[in-house]
Amino acid sequence: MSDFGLEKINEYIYRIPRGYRADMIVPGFIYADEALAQRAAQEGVLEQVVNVATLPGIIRGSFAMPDIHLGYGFAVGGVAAFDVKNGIVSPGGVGFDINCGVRLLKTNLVAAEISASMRQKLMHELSRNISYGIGGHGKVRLSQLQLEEVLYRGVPWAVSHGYGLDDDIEYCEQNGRLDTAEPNKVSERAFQRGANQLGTLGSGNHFLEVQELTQILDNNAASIFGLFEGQLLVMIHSGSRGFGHQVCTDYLKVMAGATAKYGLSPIDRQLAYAPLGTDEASDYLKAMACAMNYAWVNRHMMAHFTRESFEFIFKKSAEALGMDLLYDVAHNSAKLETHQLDGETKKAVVHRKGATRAFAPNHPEIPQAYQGTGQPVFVPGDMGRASYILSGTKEAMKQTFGSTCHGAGRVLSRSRAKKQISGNELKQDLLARGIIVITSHVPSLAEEAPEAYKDVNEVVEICDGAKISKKVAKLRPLGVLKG
Amino acid sequence: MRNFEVLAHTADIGIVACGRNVPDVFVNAAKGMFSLMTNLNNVNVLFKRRLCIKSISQKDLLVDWLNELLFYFETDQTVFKDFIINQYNPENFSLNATALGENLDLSRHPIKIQIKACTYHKLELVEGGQKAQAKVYFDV
Repeated sequence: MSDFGLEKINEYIYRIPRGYRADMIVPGFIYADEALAQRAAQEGVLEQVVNVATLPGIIRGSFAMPDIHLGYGFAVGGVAAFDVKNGIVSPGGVGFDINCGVRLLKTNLVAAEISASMRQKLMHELSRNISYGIGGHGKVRLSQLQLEEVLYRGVPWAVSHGYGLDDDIEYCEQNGRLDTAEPNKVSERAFQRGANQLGTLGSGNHFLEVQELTQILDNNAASIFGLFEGQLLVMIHSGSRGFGHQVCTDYLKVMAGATAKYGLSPIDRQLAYAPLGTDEASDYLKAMACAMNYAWVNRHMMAHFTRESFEFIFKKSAEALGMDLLYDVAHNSAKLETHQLDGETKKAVVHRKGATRAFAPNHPEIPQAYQGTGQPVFVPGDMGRASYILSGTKEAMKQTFGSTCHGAGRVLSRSRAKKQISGNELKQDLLARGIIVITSHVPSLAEEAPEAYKDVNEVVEICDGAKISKKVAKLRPLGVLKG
Repeated sequence: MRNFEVLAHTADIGIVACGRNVPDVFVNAAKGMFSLMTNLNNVNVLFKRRLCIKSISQKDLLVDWLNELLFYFETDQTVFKDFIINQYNPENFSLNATALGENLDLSRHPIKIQIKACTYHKLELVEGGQKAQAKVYFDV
């Protein structure tokens, strides 16, 4: 078995040298401890990191975050930036669920002061109010014209239609809108899939969790973020639903056309790409921006329904409950960004597939309130252990184009998890530990069992150790709504 | 060997589908895909949908066929259990098929796993000697 020529840079970073394979343009950088790096080498995921390192115009490196696992074409947990002058864009480098991401709502409630029966009621109300799982149709059904507006305007559309609060816009990556969106680059099929799914959770690894903040790890950042120990929080993890999947499916086909047209030779069909500046690349970026906006509005609508649920249960307004948005981050995206590299200003299309933007303090693209701390980053763990709030760092800007991990990362395949774990026992087990789980299909819960994931504590430790983000607070789940 | 078998992938899932020829493999791949989602024994044949698909290669046709079925699953909320390939043209990579099934009813068709897309990851389609076989992975 190949060890990919792994060289240890320090305790938290390994390098696959450029010379490891003749077609590599840049080295691979693996953010991992020794055990994780070995594991990644055995799983075959490092081959995907090497394949990405061969793509035209890639700058500095093909990066693997510590939660990396096998994906399609690009690994999940991969970051790659391509020079606007001679680079490419690849739908596989974003993934099917465009702008899958996480948003965190704060409250001023103390988790320990909420009784078990009250928590049950709250979870029940959330499950009534937010559509989850298959056949999950949203409360809003949009006409073609309305959906076009959503795609074009993003979160500001939702706020102007009475969903959410004005401040939500500022506390959303990119202010909840990529202004490059052009709905006429989106297929009829994507419109059909997107028309009635807005504001729905979906299935797979998506969830809504009611959480308790168990430990503050950075007092200054926590205070600026408005966090305190014992605080009740709500984390929403979802993406662009069928809409984004259709955009990806459509453009994988467009890229196959580009491969023939421009005489390209991608190593893997899922890595198909088009050179930046071509019609195929521009069209994909415009359609992808639509899906990014769809996903932001999707999470925004669910946050609105969450606030309504809290208002109903606690008989107070969302404002009185302090239900402000801490932040909303994307973890499947390709964005045009400006970075400083060795004193040079470079424009690049940064692909983050299963990776989170982690912009540093004083970055112009993050909210005023977070200028001193860097942007908040959310790392959901599995439903039994913990999740984290981190902050962006200068080192992330230097090392990884301002990127860090996005979760725990899977270790067990779904079929193996199901063989080893019973969904029903898991549900009971979690309940005994005070975690209420509501799901559309209990046997499938096993696929998302804690054992199916890496330990998020280790993943976060590596990001913090490598300084590509900084620990701010640790959270634990109290109630889980799972598709 | 069964008509299809499940393949493990860390985050997702795939199948190997077998048959006497390519159209047979297309049918078994579709059956395999829907049986990953729900128990097909509980699905009745109450209506049929005709599908005409044209693609750029044989392998692409397989992916397009499965994605087409997923599109109807999601937008029309229909679950299919049987498939007939009425016409298959390997020259211009097209097919004309009938999918048979009924409306999704979650009380009778609980969804074990939602397949959201068929991918090109390690996609294989081989034929020869009265046998054909395909390997496909799905995004879930």
